[in-house]
Amino acid sequence: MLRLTDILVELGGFNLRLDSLEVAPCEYLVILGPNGAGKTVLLETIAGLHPVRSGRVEFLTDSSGVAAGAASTDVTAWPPEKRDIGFVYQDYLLFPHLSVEKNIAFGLRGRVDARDRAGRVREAAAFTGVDGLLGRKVTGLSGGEQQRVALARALAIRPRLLLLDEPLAALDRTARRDVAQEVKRTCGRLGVTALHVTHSLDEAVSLGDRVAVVAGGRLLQTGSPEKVLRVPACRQVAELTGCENLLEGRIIGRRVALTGGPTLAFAGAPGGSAPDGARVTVALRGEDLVANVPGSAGGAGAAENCFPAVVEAVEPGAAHWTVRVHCAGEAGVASEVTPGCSLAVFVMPPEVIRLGLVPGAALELSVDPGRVVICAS
Amino acid sequence: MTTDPTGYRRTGWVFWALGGLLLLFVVLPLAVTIIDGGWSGLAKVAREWGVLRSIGITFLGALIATAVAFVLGTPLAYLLARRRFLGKSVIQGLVDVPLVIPHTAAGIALLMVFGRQGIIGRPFASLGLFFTENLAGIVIAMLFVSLPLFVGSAQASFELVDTRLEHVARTLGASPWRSFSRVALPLAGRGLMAGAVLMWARGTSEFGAIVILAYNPKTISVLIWELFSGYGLSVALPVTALLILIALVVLVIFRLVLPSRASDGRWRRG
Repeated sequence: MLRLTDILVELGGFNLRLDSLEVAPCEYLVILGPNGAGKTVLLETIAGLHPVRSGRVEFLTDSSGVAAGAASTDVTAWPPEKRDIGFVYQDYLLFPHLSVEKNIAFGLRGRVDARDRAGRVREAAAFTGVDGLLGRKVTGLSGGEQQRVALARALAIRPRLLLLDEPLAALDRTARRDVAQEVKRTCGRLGVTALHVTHSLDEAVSLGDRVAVVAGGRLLQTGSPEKVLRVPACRQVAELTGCENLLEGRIIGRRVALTGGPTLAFAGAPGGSAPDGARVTVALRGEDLVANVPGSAGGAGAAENCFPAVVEAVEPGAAHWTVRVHCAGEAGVASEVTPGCSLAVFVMPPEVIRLGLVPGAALELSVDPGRVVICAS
Repeated sequence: MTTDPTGYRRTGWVFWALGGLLLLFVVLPLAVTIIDGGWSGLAKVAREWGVLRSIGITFLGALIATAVAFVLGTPLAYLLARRRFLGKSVIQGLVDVPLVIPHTAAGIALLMVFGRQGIIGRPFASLGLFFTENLAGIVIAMLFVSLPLFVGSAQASFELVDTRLEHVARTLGASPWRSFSRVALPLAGRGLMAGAVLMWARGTSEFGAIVILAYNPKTISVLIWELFSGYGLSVALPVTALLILIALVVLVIFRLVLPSRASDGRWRRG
């Protein structure tokens, strides 16, 4: 559906660089990145709102999917009004001087005859459930309602691509949940390809067919949410996807010795084998570390990577608690005298009680070798 | 019995006293003039053709000047509000220049261009078209000295309109012109009108540049000056009082009907 190649956008002091990004038809792609990463600039560039210093934006006309050599149209020079791209900003940006109906109808002038317009407006309003609001002024609407109107306005033009800039950021928790799933479902129903930009990991994981991680104006990794979480391409991606534990270590055969910490077995590494003795970054996600009573064998498959630890601090949380532990190097393994390493472990509240996790308590941690991730630095 | 911990009621009197002095400074001259002008004097003067014609020319000239500023200044204000370009601060400064030039000096500068020997005046003079000593001269003088008020206000109004609204309009299919005329202009409209009113009001009170460029036909401020310097205070007084009354009435009407900027930058009625 969309292909970006070697994009360079210079905006005041900020540069956006993108080697390559492809979006398949009907795909729901989530672009994940911290604030200031250039996500909005990227969307605006795709929509044709910024001059492109170099690079190409192409629409792929082959509807059977993205494939090498698919027929494409270079739209880099096309003005925004010709691109048929729907855009929904974070703060909705409904036209305050127009009613809900006129807002939704705005894009239809020139596309649709006057007599068909009312029907199209009602149809678009029905997509997002705002048909009851058509006569209303925009100023009295709640956040969720405004968001739905903004979405209806974008969908009314039957866009080939829908760009959503942090569409859920201004909504409260309840509205966010409802609107998120609705947006994805509506896109699926209408066969609309969507690019959803966010800094929320939860949104990326729950909504994205694929996730693209962007930071500092560069695209760092694209892949399924699983892939991006489990096999981060580099340390920065691991950080951005909320990996709590990023540690230095040295490869010893099929194991990695964490500096000041235990030696763990790992399964696989990005790009194939990791050379012996190489210094690498190890990513251990908080949810992959399993806490247990000291001395128990842990799960059958995890017995290999068991090591003792002591609780330093316990932080309560809504869905899970974060237990900060301190663990020493493995006894018997020759290593420099070090003060040990700290890890953050996510534990469900009932487990915290069962294991008696309070500062100073001893526990045993284990981690599946498949979850020990070696990153490029 | 309300308890007010802020203490504003108790301590605000200093601010009121200082501000009140300034307000008194404005009200006193107006009140004394109107009272001393006397109703009968006012009524008599209000029926004199010369006075009415003078008021009419003043209001009309300011209206035409404002209209010209609106047509030419709105696009300029939009560019200044939206675009970044080389020399922007220079142009920004140029727009403000008429505010700092003494008005008689401005009048002379305008004479150099529009006078019968002026760069633009001369070729037109050979066609029988003149820009001095007529309504055109009045309009030119008013336009020059008060346009910064309109352009500044218009620029601020456009800056208050979120650029992204126009971005959305473009993605929905609007051409640059349509996104300006259907989105930016209507949303800035109230501010533009307020700026126009401000400019009109300033234009009606212009004196220095008009005196140089178009002493005749006499605008009201020129008339009052002539009456005062030629015949004295007692003759100038009724006309002055009449004009102050008219100006107050016009101001009140405008304030009620048109918006002004509230402290949060938004436009409100009244």
